[in-house]
Amino acid sequence: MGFFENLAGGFAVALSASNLFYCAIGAFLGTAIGVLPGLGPPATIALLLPVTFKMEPVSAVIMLAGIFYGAMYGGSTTSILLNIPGEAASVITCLDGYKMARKGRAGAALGISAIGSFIAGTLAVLGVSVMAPTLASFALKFGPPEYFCLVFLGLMMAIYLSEESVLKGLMMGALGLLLGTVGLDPVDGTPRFTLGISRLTDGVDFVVMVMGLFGLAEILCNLEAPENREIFKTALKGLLPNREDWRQCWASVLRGSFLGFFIGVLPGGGAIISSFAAYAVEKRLSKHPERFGKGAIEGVAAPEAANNAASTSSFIPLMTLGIPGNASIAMIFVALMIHGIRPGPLLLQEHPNLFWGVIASMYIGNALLLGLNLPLINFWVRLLKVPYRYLAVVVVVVCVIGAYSVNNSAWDVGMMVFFGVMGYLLRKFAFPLSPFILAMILGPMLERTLQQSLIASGGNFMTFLDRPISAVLLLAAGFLMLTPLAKQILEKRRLLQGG
Amino acid sequence: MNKRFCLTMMWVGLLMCICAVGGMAPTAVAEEFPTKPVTLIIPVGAGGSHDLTARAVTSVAINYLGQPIIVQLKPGGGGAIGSELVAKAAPDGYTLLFGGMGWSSTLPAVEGRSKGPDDLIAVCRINYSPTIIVARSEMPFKTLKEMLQYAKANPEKLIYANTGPWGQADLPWKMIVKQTGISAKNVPYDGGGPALLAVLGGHADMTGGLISALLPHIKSGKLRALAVLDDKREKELPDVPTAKEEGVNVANLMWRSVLAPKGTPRPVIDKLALAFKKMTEDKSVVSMIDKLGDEIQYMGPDEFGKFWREEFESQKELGKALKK
Repeated sequence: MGFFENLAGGFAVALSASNLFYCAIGAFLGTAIGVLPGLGPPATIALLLPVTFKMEPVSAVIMLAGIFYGAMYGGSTTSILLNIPGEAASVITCLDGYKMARKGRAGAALGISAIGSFIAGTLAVLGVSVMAPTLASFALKFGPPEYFCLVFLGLMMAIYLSEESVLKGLMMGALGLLLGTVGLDPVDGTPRFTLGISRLTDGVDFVVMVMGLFGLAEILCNLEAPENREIFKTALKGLLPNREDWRQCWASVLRGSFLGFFIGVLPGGGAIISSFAAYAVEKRLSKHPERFGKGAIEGVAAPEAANNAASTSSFIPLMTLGIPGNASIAMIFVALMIHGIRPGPLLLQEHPNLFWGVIASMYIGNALLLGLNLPLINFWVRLLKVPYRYLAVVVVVVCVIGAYSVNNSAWDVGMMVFFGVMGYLLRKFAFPLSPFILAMILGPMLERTLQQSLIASGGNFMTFLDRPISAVLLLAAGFLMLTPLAKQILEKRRLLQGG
Repeated sequence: MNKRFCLTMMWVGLLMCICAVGGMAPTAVAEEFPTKPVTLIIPVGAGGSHDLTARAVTSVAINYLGQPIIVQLKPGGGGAIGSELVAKAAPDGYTLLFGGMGWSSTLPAVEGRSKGPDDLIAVCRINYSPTIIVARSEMPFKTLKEMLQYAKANPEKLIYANTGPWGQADLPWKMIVKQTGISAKNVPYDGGGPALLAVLGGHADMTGGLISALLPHIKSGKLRALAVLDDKREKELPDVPTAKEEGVNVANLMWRSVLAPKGTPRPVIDKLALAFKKMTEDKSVVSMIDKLGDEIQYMGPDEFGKFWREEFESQKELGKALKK
């Protein structure tokens, strides 16, 4: 088989001193921007793009790719420590990661996300190197009806994301769908619900909203209570996940990797959606779903594994079809183009060294990231010993700078404050945030794919059932919707018979 | 001499000086311009073709303008935010906009958003990329003419994937449909990547895009280029005719240009235009633009201003006709 030869050739490229150096730079920068909220991988890669003009194309892609998947490692850090998602794909990690930190288990949470990310990253690279072309044809099978049904299935997860009351969860989901309609209509570009404000034609910026809802709202909540940091001081011993943790979540890591890998292949927000999906699946499969949202380690392990696997597999459409699936990958596309390489179906034949060199660098990069992140845990956990009255100021400053850096605009800082107050009120009244965020991400996709399907089919709704993949997805959604209901009925019946 | 007279004369002299300086001010400013760095606002995100082109051209500004040009990104509203910012800025030549067809012609003409030739004036055009119309190679037509026949014989059967409302693929398709009277389904996708993926996966039959994204697929035989929406043929696709050669009078040049707030003095505009002309002739700039897959197609303020105005008016009419 040529596979091992190819991979060996790739390692020969990736292990050259300069490429190893660029891989390390990428991994390091990725971790750093992952930790900083606001500044995301697309912006960083764009800033570094001119630097790569004079580099070898392989080195350029190795470094830029390192930034992209490295950010998935760093993104969980602030989610766990401060309840501010460092990256959009780490929102869901806040739920259980931060609760774990409050219980003095920040080290274990950071450890599981680093090691889980490493396992997922490595599995995903393995997956990419073995079956990239097969997966590309899988991605091509997804037309608008398939996407619509997938998104619809995803929305059903909102039920499982509701922490206490399902009704409140659905209310928040509906609110998220409504907020997702702010902006330009996807078919003819008419502004909707923009109140005549130009800024709102782009819709509500997700990163800005999440920083307010989580980070700022957290500060507001903590201001109410006098310092109660004892919890952080008590148990700093367990710096790494223990055997019990592993027993609980090894399967979650594998499931998260698998889910992330396949969702990541589909263009458009794969990492975010897969992290939500992984969380919902874990909660659904768990024998104790009530532990979720209160510091369940599976709730950290699965989504962190998923977003890492998804970021790796999102290279597949670029490498095999020449189509960038998200903003970061689009920048890497530009970097290749500037070197006179046009990514497309012929990339693998025309530039095998580039393809296999980048793949090999990902194996190395993941190992480097693990080596970089594990020692950092000690440092991060120590950070929590800083008195909250100082830490709070830093968090606010970080949030403000982060929000400003998204679009270089003060408007976004105002939006962040607005969502901070909103997040505070929602928490006071015990409304769950995750169904809201999920619906806000999926709502615009749901609308767009529905419109696309119906325009293409001439208004025929049967298009969703005529196609095998979409029909299966729709059935699965129906099943998910009905099982809690059936369970409830059966339970009531048993109670009635018993009583 | 009388002390009072001296004093009066001094006042008169001072006054005359002020008047003289005041009267001369515009030319004096233009002669001195620029005395401080010039800001060029790019109203879209980093890493796109506009950002890269602007950075490449302005990298040598200090050699030809005497002052550096600072590139500032102000993305938002599809380019409207940055455009409004520049339209409101002082018309002194120190704040410029990197214009694009989308936010400087189409948005103001069709939607009444962003700012067009009524609020901004042209400095110069840097270059443009034409839209290329492609179809899946399985489709039973090989040329634009055959496609039109097919569409007339099978109304509402063709599925065209556009890259977003009024974008590089949507606008010219609407013009083609209006001019030829064919009927087809026009499905909106969220950008060039998803639209291309839909065509490659067989979920749509045709799309329009720029050569950089389409060429690999045309070469691999998955896509067939039907027409170039330019006045001349594309260098890398010498066998593909323009739409005009095929009897459809549609061109769509996604241009990149430098614009200034309305009221900027003519001498300042001329000075800027000359400096940009020299920048675009700089060897290092030419080679950077070449790497981006484009070429320099400089056009001066009068010529481009006229082109821009005509394009704006024709899109305005099209918008009125299509929006009912």
